[in-house]
Amino acid sequence: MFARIKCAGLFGVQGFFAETEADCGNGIPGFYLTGALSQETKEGQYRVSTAIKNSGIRQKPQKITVNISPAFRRKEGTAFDLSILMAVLCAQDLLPPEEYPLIADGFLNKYAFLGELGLDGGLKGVRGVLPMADMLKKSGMEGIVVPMENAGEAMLVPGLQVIGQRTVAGLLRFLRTGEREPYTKESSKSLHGEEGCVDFSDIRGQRYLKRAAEIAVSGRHNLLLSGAAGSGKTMIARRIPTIMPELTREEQIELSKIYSICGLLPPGEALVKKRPFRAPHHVSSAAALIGGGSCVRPGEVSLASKGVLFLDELPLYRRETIEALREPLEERRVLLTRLKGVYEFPADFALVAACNNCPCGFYPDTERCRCTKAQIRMYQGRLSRPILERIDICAEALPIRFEDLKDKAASECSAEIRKRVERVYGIQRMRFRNIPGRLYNSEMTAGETEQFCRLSSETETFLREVFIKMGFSARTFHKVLRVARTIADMEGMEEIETRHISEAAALRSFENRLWGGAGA
Amino acid sequence: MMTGEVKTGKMAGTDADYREAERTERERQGLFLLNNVGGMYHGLLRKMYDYAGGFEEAYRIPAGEYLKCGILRNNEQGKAVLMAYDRRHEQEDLLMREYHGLSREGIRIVTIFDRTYPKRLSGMEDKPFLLYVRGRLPEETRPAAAVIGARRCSEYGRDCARYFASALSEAGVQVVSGMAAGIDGEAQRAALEASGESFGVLGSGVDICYPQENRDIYRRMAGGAGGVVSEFPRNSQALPFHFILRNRIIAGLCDVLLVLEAREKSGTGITVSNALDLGKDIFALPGRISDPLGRGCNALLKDGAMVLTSPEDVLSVLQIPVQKKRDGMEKDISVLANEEKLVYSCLDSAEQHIETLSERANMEISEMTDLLVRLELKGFCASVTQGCYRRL
Repeated sequence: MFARIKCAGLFGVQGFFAETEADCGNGIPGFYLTGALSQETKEGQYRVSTAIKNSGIRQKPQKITVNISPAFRRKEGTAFDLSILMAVLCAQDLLPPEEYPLIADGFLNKYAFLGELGLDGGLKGVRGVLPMADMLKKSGMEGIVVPMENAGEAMLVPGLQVIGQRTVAGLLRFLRTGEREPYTKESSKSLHGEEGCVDFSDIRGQRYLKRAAEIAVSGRHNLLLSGAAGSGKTMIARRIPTIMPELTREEQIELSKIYSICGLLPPGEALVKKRPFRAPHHVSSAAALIGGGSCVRPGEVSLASKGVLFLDELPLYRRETIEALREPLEERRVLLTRLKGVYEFPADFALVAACNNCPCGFYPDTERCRCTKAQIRMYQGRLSRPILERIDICAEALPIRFEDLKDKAASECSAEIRKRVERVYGIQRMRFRNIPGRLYNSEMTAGETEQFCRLSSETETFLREVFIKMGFSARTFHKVLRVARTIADMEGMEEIETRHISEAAALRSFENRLWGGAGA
Repeated sequence: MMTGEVKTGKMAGTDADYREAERTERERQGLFLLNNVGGMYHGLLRKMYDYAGGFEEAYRIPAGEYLKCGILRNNEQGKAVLMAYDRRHEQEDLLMREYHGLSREGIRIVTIFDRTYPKRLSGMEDKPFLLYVRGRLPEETRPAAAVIGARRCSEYGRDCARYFASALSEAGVQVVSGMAAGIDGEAQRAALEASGESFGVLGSGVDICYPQENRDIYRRMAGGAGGVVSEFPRNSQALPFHFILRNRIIAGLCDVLLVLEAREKSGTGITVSNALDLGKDIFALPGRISDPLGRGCNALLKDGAMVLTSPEDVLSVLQIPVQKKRDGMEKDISVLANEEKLVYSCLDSAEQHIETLSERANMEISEMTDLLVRLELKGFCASVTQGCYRRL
C-alpha cells in the first residue's frame, strides 16, 4: 500500500515544500529510505521504527520503501522523522479510517507533519519551524502538526492551524478522538536576561559617546568607538539596540525565522522581540561572520539583522574576516553561492566597532603608554581601510573618572532617547518615500546627498573652509554631509546649518591618519 | 693625498712640511682603522693613543701587548673587542678602500689632526678623535644653539621647540640637536623650515637614519641643508649607550644649550652636565610643578640655569641684536566671538576630551563640538586624537 504525507525542508532561510511517500509490500522485510538525504535525516529510519514499537504499535514485517520528494533536493535535519513515521503507519494500514475519523476526513491532505522522534516515541523540537510553517501556509496547507516545543513558533503564522503534540501516542489519540493537547507556554527563562534590562541610564558620564551613539542610530550610520581599555565602549555598544525603535511584527517574524533556523530562539519564546546585539569574538572565521558551512547556516551578520553587530578590538580581527563584511554592509544581505544553489540571508545590521588606540590601550596618554611609535602605527594600520571607509562616525571615549561613577544623578533612559530616534526615522521615511528600499540617511548615494543636503551659500562657504582646512577626501566630504543631514534631522531642521556641518566634521572617521600617526 | 683637509695650503711647503703632512695622513688612516674595529669606543682609543703615542703606532701594536698592559682585557666585556682587534688585518684592505671612497658617498672624515676640526670641540677633555660628516659642520663664526629635550614630549613641548628653533634660526643662529623623536626632531624641522639649515649629531653611523620618522629632516640635512655628524663608523646601529657618547658632542658643538622638556632622570641631564663642564650657558623652559616633563627643567632652574621665556633671552646672551620683535606664543583672541573666547579659555596646551571641556564651560556636547571646529578653522586649536582638542 502507498501513502503520502506533507512535510517541509529548509534551504537557507526559506522553507520548501516536500512530501514523504511510503510504500509497503511483499519482499524481504527491510527499510529503504531515499531522496538525497543527509546523514542525520537517513538515521531517521531507526528512530521511526523504534518509536513505533515504543508507542505500542506492532509493525508488519514488510519491505518498506520511503522517498522524500522532490528527490533531487538535498534534505538536512531531523524534522522529517514525524512525516516518515506517519507515512509508514498509513502505508502499513495501521491507521484504519474507521478507527481514525480525522484521517477519513482528509486530515493528512490538509496538514503537514514536522518533528524529530525520540526512541521512546516522544516528539522533540526542531530548527526552522517558523520559515517552514510560513511556506506551508503560503502553499495552501490548512494546518501543521509539530512538537509542542515548536507550537508557539508555528502559531506566529496567521491563519495556520497548529497542533502541538508531545508524543506519538498523543498524536494518535488526537487522530482518533480529535482531542487536542492544550498548548502550554513553557515559563520563559530567557538566556538573554541580561540584555533585557540594560539601559542607557546605566552609563555615567560619557556624554560624548552617547551623543555619537544617538546620531549614529538616528541615521543608521556605522560607528567606531575608540579609547582606552575600560572606558565603557562595550557598555555603550551593548545599549545601542535599546535606543533603536521597537521591531515591528513583520520584522520580528523575519528575524525569528533566522533564529529559528540557527536554533537560537530563546527557550520558551517563539519570537525575537528585542533588537539583537551580536558580538562575535575576534578569532571568528569569515564563515562564522557572514554565514556558510557545509550545511549552510546564516552567520553573525544575519543574526545581527535589525540590530547591532559589535566588533570589539577591531584591529585584532583577521583581515579576510573583516573584508568579508564589505558586501553585507553595502547590500544589506548576504549571497552565498554553493553547488546546490544560491543562499540569500538578510544582513541589515548597524555596525558598531571598538578599538584601543595602541596595543597597551593607554595612548595618547604618553605618561602611561609605553608603546613605540612603530607599534602604534602597526596596530592602527591593522584597521582595514575598506571598513573604515564605511564608518561614518568615530568617537573617542574619555577614560572613566571617579566622579562619574559616583554621580548618582540619573541620566537619560533608553526610552526617552528612543522616542527622539523614532521621530528622526519618521523624517527619513518621508524623505525617501519615493526611493524604494532606501530608509536611512547613511544609505544616500552621492547624487541623493546632493539632492537632500542642499546648503545655503553661507553654509556652503563654511563647508568649503572645513574641507580645505581639514583636508577631506571626496569620500569624507559625503560622509560629513550625510551625518550633518542626520544631525539637522535630529533638530527637526529642513536646512543644514553650519553647526551641523561642524559637528559632523568633528565626528568624522580618519581614514589614513587615524590618530595623528607620525605626530607631525 | 686623498683628503682635502691635509693638502690645503701645504703644497707649496718645504720638504719638512711635506713629511709632516705625510705623517698626519698616516695618523688619520691609523685612527680610521682603529675606529672601525668592532666595539672600539672613545675611551679605548684614548688609552691606546696615550700608550703608543700615535694612532699609526697604536694600530701596529699586537693585541697581546695591550692585553699585557691591561688596555684590552680578556673578560666578559672585553672579549669581543679583543677578538676584533686581533683580527683587524683581515678587513684592512676593505677598510682602506672605504676610506678612500667615502667622499663618493658624500661623507667626510674630520679628525683632530685637521684644521677643519671644530674649534668648539677642541677644548674638550674627551673630544672625539674623528667625526664622520655628511653635509657640513656648524660654522665657527656664527653662533650655534642646541635645542634638546624629551623624546616622549608633550604637544606643548613640541610647540615650544618649533617656536624657539624657528625664532633662533631666523636670527642666524645655527640649531644643533640629536635628531631624536620628540623635541630634538621637532626643533630641527622648524629650523630647516625657517632658515634651511640645522645640524644633527647622531647616535648611529651618518649613513643611517634613526629614528625613521625623522627621515625627512635627515635627508635634508645630509643633503647639505646643514649636516649630520657622528663619531661612529658607517653602518653603526643606534645602540642605547651611543646616545650617551653622542650627547657630549651636542654639548660641545653649541654655544648655548636650550632644554625644553625633560624628565628627572634623562639623557638630557647628561648633555647638560657636559655643557656645564665646557662652560656653556644653559637655558631651561619653566615647567609645571605637576608635570613629570617639567621636573628636569625646573631642577636645572633651581641649580641656576637661565629662565627661557622668549627667544630674545637667548639672542641677548649670544649678543645678537634683536631685529624685529616676534609675536609671542599667545594668540590675539580679539577676533573670536564671545562663546569662542570662553571655549578658548578652557583649552589647554595638552589635549583634553570634548566632554571635559564641555563640563568646564557648562555647554552641551553638540555646541562645544561646533565651537571647537570653528576654533580649529581659525587656527586656535588642534585635534590629534579624535574627540580631544588642545590650544594652539
